[in-house]
Parts: sequence; C-alpha cells; structure tokens
Amino acid sequence: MAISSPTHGTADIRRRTALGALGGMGLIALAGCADGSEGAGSEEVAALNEVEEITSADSLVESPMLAERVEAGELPPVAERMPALEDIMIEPVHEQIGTHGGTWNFPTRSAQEGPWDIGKPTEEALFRFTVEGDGVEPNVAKGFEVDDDLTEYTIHLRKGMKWSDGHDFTSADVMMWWEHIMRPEIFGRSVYDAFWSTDPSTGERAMAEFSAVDDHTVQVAFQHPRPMFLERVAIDAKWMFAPAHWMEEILDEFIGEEAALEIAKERGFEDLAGWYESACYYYWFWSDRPMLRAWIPTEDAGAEQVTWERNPYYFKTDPAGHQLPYIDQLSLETYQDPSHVELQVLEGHFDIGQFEFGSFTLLQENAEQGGYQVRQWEPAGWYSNGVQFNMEPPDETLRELFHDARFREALSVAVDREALSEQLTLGLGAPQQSSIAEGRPFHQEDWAQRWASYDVDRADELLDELGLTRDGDWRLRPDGEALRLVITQQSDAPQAGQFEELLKHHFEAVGIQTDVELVDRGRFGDLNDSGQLQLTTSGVIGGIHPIFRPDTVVPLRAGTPWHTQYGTWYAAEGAQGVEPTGDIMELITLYREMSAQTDSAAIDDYAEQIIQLHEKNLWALGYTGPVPTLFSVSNNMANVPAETTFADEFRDLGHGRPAQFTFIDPEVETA
Amino acid sequence: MLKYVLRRCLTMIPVVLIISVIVFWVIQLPPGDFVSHRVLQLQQEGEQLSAVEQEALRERYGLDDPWYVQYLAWIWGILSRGDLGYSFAYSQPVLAVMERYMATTLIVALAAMAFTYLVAIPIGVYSAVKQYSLGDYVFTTVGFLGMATPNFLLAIILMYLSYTWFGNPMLGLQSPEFSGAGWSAARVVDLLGHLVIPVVVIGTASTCELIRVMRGQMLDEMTKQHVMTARAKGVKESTNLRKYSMRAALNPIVSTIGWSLTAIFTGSTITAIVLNLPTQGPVMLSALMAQDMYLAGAWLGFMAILTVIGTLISDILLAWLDPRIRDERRARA
Repeated sequence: MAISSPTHGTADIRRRTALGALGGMGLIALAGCADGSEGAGSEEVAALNEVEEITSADSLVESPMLAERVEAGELPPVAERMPALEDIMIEPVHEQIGTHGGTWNFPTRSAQEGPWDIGKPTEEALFRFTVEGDGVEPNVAKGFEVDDDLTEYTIHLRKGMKWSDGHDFTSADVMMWWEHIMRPEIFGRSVYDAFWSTDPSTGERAMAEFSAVDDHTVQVAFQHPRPMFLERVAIDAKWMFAPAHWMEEILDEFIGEEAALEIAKERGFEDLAGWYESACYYYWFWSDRPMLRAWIPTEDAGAEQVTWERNPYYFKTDPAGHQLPYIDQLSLETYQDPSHVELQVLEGHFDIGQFEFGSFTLLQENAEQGGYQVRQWEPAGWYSNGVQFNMEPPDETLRELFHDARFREALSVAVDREALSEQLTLGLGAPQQSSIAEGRPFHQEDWAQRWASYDVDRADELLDELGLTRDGDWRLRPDGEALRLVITQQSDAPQAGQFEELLKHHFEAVGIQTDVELVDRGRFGDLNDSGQLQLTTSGVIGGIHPIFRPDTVVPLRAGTPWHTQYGTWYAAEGAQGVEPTGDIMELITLYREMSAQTDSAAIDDYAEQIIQLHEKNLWALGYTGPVPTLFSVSNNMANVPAETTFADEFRDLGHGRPAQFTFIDPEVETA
Repeated sequence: MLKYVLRRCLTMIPVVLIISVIVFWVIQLPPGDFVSHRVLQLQQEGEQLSAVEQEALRERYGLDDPWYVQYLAWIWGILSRGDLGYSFAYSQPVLAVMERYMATTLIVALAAMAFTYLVAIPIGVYSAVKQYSLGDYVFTTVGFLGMATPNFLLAIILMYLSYTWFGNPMLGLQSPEFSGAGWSAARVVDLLGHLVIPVVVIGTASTCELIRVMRGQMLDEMTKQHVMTARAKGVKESTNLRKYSMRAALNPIVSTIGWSLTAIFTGSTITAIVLNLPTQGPVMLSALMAQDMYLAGAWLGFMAILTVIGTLISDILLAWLDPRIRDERRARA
C-alpha cells in the first residue's frame, strides 16, 4: 500500500520492524486498507500523504480554539508547543485534509465497566501496528536501532516533545516507568513478557536492563536475543513511559509512604495498590495527569458526561501542517445498556457508535434517517458461532470421546451450517469451518471446508463406529449410561440461547441428548477455572498471529475453555492442571521454539505449524464464518476507514487513527 | 411516648445485625467471587491476568479469608470507625460511591413519591365520593391498566412517544450540553423535562394501588356512625370529609410510608436502566452481579435499616394521626 509512514527520512534509523516477513501479511493490506476499494481517490490521497517533514514553523496551523488561547497569553505559540520540526510526526490522512473543530459525541460505559472504551481509541503507544498490520512502526518514539543478534535495542525519542502540561518528554520519563513503576510491579501486573529474554539452552528467563543514553535515547539490553521485542511492547507495554515530574510527587518511593497514602485517600482510594493501578495503568481518567494523547479529560471520571479536550502539545500534524487532532472535543456520555447507544445513533446524536453484529439490520434500515453510514471491520477470530470442547472434562468417558477426532467430526457435520448462517448471521457469516480467511496470513486451503458439509448419515456412521449405540431416540455411552452433553454459555452474552438451542436441535437429531445451560458470568468463570465445562459456545479462538496473542490457540495459561487445564499446567510449571499429550503438547513445544527464533521467516514457519495443528484437530468447531464488528459513522465525519481489521492488538477503533478523524462541517457539531 | 421510641430503637439493633449477617452470607453464596468476575471482564477487553496476578488481587481484597472473617472485619470497621468498606469495582470507599449517586436518587425518588400522593389521594377520595360515576369508572379502568402494565414497558412507550413527538427519547436526567455547567434556569428546565418520564413511570406503579386503597377506605369511613352523626348535625360535607372520613382513611397509607423509604433508594432499578438514570438502583444491581461484596452489603444493610426505621416512623405518625392508637397505648401503660 502506498500509505506508509511518511517519516521515512534518515536512512540510519530503521523506521519499521522487519516483520514484513509475517507470511502473507502483506495481503491484509489489500483486504484491509480501504483505499484499495476507492480507485482513483487513493492515488490523490497517496499524493497528499507524500510529505516527509514539516519544513518551516510558519506552516504549522493550530485549531482556532487554541489560537484564541495563544492570543490571550494562556499558551505558548504552536511551534514552541510541538517537537522540533524534524521530529514532528506526520500522520497520513485517510481520505482528505480535515478541518479543525467540532465535538465528537462519544458513547461509553462507566469508567469501571469499560475503561478501554475511551482508553484504546485515544492511546498513544511508543510503537504501534502499521495500518496494514504487518509489523510495528514508531509512534511516540521517533525510531529505533537494533544490533544484529537482537539483544540491544536503542530507542530514539522526539526532541522538544512535551506532555499535555507543557513539561518536556524525555528519556527520564521512560526510565521512571521502568525503574519505579514496571519493575517494582506497583500497578498489579507482573513485568511483561516483552521484557524477558529466554536462554535458548536452559529456557531460563532474564529481565531486560534499561539505560538512558541521553535525553532522547533509551537503550534496552537483553542477555539473550529478544526477537519481537517491539511487537511485544506494542501489545503489552503500549505506554512504556510515565510523566516523571508528576510521578515524583505521588509515588511513596519519593515522598514516603505516609504522604503517598494521604494522596491516595484524597483521591478516594483505600490503599496504595488501588491508587497506583489507577494512576499508572488506567491513568487516563485523571484530568491532572499529564498525557501524550490527542485528547485529555477536563474533569475526573465519575460524572455521567465528561468532556475531553484537545491536547495543545500533541506531537502530530497532518501532511499539510495542521496540528492534530482535527476534532476539538470529545463529549463522553455514559450509557447503561447498548440499546441506549442504538437509540441515540438512530436519532443522529452519537457520531460514532460501535456495535455487535446483532444490530446490523436495525442500523442499516435507519442509516438514511440517522444520517450515518455503517462501517464493517473484520475481526481476527476464526469464526462467529462455534463450540469449544473442554479437552479435560471431569468425566473420563467424555474425555475419551472429546479426544477422538471422529466424535468432533460427527458433531461438526451433524449441523446444518447453511441454515445457521441464515438464522444467526443473515448469511454474512459464511457456512464454514473455523478457519483463517483467504488473504490473511496463514490461510490454509480447504480448511474452511473441512468437516463442514451437512451430512447426518456420516455423523450417525461415525457415532456408531465409536460404539455409541442407540437406545430408542438417544445414544448410550460405551459404559451403558445415557450420553448427555451440556452446552454452557454466559447468560449476558449477546443473543445467548439462540445458537445453543439450534445446536441442541441438530445434536439431538443424531441421537445425542443435549442440555443448554445459560449461567451467570461468575458461575461460568468458576466452571471454567475448575475444568467442569463440557462444551461451551462462549468466546472465540483465533487472532492475528500466534506470536502476538497466543492465548486462545496455545495453552500457555488458564482462561480459554478448550485448553484451560493445560494452560493451568503450563503456567504453574506442572504444579496444577493436567499435562497435555500428543498434538496439544506439540503446540507448546512449537511455541517455545518459535519464541527463541531470531529470524522472522523461521518464526512464521513455526506459526504455520501451530495453525496447521489447529486445522488438523479442530479443538474448537466453527459453524459460521466471522462477522464484522460494526461502526455507525456520521455522514459529517471523514477519514474513518470503511473497512479494516478490528483487533485488540490494533487497539480496536484506535487502528483507524482517530486523531485524523475530521468533521466535514465542524460548525454543526456540538454536544 | 419517648420511652416507647427508645425501646423500639434498642430492639432495632439486634434485628439490623441479624439482617446484616444474612445479607453478607447470601451475597457470597453464588459461585465465583469478585476476582473471577473481573478476570472474565478483562478477558473480554483483551487483557489477561495470570494466576499469580489473580492471587495477588484476592489477597489485596481479603477474599481468601472465610466469609465470616470477612464479615467480622467489615462489621467491626462500621461499628468502630463508620467505615462501610471498600468497593472493588470502583476502587473507592463504599461511602464515596453511595454519595455520588445520592442526589440524583433523592431527586427522582422524592419527585416520584410526591407525584404518587398528589395524584392518588385526591383521585381516591373523588372515586369514593362519586362512587359508580363516569369519573370513577374511568379512573378505575386507568388504574387497573396502570397496575397491570410493567413499569419498564411504560417507560419504553413514553420514550417512544417522546422520540416521535419531540425527536428526543429523553434518556438520562440531563442533556449533555448542561453537564459540568453551573446551575441556570435553562438547566433546571432541562432537568424538569427529563424528570417527567421517570416520575410518571415510577410514580404510577404505586399510584394505582393507592387509589384503590384510598377509595375502599373512604367508602368504609363515609358510612361510619360518627360521620353520619356529624352529617345529621349539619356539619358541612367538605369539613366532614376532611376532618373525619379522610383522616381515618389515611391510616393504611401512613402505615406504609415507612416501607416506601426503601423504595426511594433502590426501587425501580429496571426502570432506571431502561431510562439510563444515574441512580442507585443500577449501581446496586451491578454490585450484586459482580459480587462487589461490601458495596452490595452496605446497600442491603442500609435498606434493612431504612425499613426498620421506616416502620418506626409509621408507628409514630399513626399514633399522632389516630387518637385511637394513642389512647390505646396510654390505657395499657
């Protein structure tokens, strides 16, 4: 794609990770980047974005809102607020050069329930995933160098860059985060995977060492090669920095425990742990906490509505030299139920709304009246409706059945996917197996068709073969007891019960008595943690690349129903859980070997093998293909990608680069 | 009288304590705890917590102790320093969370209560005085319709009408543009506009019942001998109504005022969710669902206290209103 980082400047600094080797990832660009579908327009946009550097301070343009404040003497002029000219980051625009102004009405859950609703779209990571998703690129950082054996990473920061309160952003802020926040683990998270390197021979892990070379250079050194360090940073440690001048005034290390506790109490916290998690992790709700985000809150969380205002010191411009963001304000409005968002999108109030697929018809039918368009972003999961088998159910007979591929195949072909696709996804989720779509990395030919035809005779034949004889309508287990399966789902899942009842219908048609169990979230967690589940329709497995987010496809820790006992075993180093065997053990072995590779082609090789094991075994069955996550986007808003990938690794809506979202006519956009 | 009140207050203490034990025990009964709930929630947001991190959380919240140890610590905190505990979900003291929603809750509840009494009592009296008139039938029909319609459905219907007529479903209590602004005439008007639907919806729930009670009582009282005597002596009919029949008829309504105290704070949760009202009900519901124990416990305990106090207030009011009760007690003493 032509839109690449326009900051490709100095040759000595590598601007991107060499992760292009991520197999067919380049193809995502075709499928994912909206410009591809816009024909001639895309060339114009590419031409617009061909600016490498802002050459003169005079060409910087600020929002009229800030110009007024400069006029009044409340703010320094724009050139003094932004990084040095050559270090200003130029954010490519998606469709057009925008206009400053307007208020973006933004629906959100309460700060406790959905901190990421606003957290992800406004996040500024040190390194972020590229638009194409084929690797990471510097964002807050200006660039990086890495030595040949991948043990020493040198990260360059932007000269003259400032926090939202005007303080300089320097290497001291990175060191503050590492020395006083991450390493002492004060915010309830262990030192991230990103900061460990593994000894290839012993498997022992060693922690990284940080050092500040000068004000704008930080070095991260590992004892052993650490491939994928920057990718892991982009996923785990999105913000690898914290405002040192602010932290020095609150951390007990600097001011003593008593004074720190007093501050915690003032902020409404009982203990330091709670306060630090809020100040160092979910920090974006504190209006006085300096940030690098495009918008910053004007008051602390708690009210039903909170206004976020543009950050006068934001470090990016568009290719024409307009300081970003284009939009002056966000008006965050708390909702209690998703239907409130629907209602106020139809009414034309919310400028962007995010919806589950279930709202598709409603949104489409009212698009004209509500003055919005529906954008469909593809998720990274492998299916939309499917089941996971708990491979270690308490019942030994069931365990043997679940491990027998014939049983899983029988339950796969016993179901009419065509019908499910129509009934549950309006035909948008293709009637196919859990698989990776064409055009995505690690796509496997014929995977989508594996065990995917509707063939009741075949299912009966397989079940007979397994010795599950019929006694009247129902089948018996080999030990003579009635065979009964339980499908469990969380009762608050969207459309809970619909898919499960259909599955029951199809399973019972081949003689397997099935119970559907809708349980409260806490109960579900309990069942899953203790390995009591049998089949569950909750959650989806998949992901962009097993090296980014291995959790659902490789048993590394508890949580994902199909492998939770194995994950427990691995995380506890054998002290708890169940030791896997065969192909599942192979997944772990492959993952460990993959993590020790220094060559990206080799990493992809291992990833491919992991994927192929999934194709072969299908520990989770998919009945309908992925369905998009929906966004309603006001007709007055431009630069929002029409289609791209929706993934947590890419920070959901944040992947659309909200700082360059713009109103076509900001005048009409008020709260 | 004072002795009576004091004695009642003293007996309240063990009642409230027993209730608090039961409440706490019930809250932690469902499987899982706040941490397992939170872990699932984080997973849906794309975050993973390792087993070690989960254990650290449990330890921080004291969830690894048996429930009675947690209870004793909690109740001791309340008795010794008035500390209601800590809300896990909000990472804040329970009291702070309750305070945040108190004002809006009181506004909605008191307005709804006023609506109920102002509408129900006059209509009840009218229906009784003009028994079997057209008006009586109309109110009776509407009353039964109102009683039979679930609150949240009425809320949805009114939102729909508001949306089709005014283009605004009137969610919440305040238009976004006023939030954070100081109080002005325009903001008060905006608030009053947003209050109409919640007050009508929450108010009608008990209005219909009250109308029936009031009507029945009035019919009873109006034919009592002392009323007949007064009428025969030429007392004006309006005076008669006000001084004798109504005063006696209010009896059952006053004796239930106490219970409505609890309704003020946590009633109409579903309506509040439907209407996106920032009140205590939804907070309480999610605290219960997430096993945010101290917040939920504090709430339920608070409600228990209100019920007990409410009953006391009702008794005192009754004694004041109804000389028969007052005298009976005096006679016994």
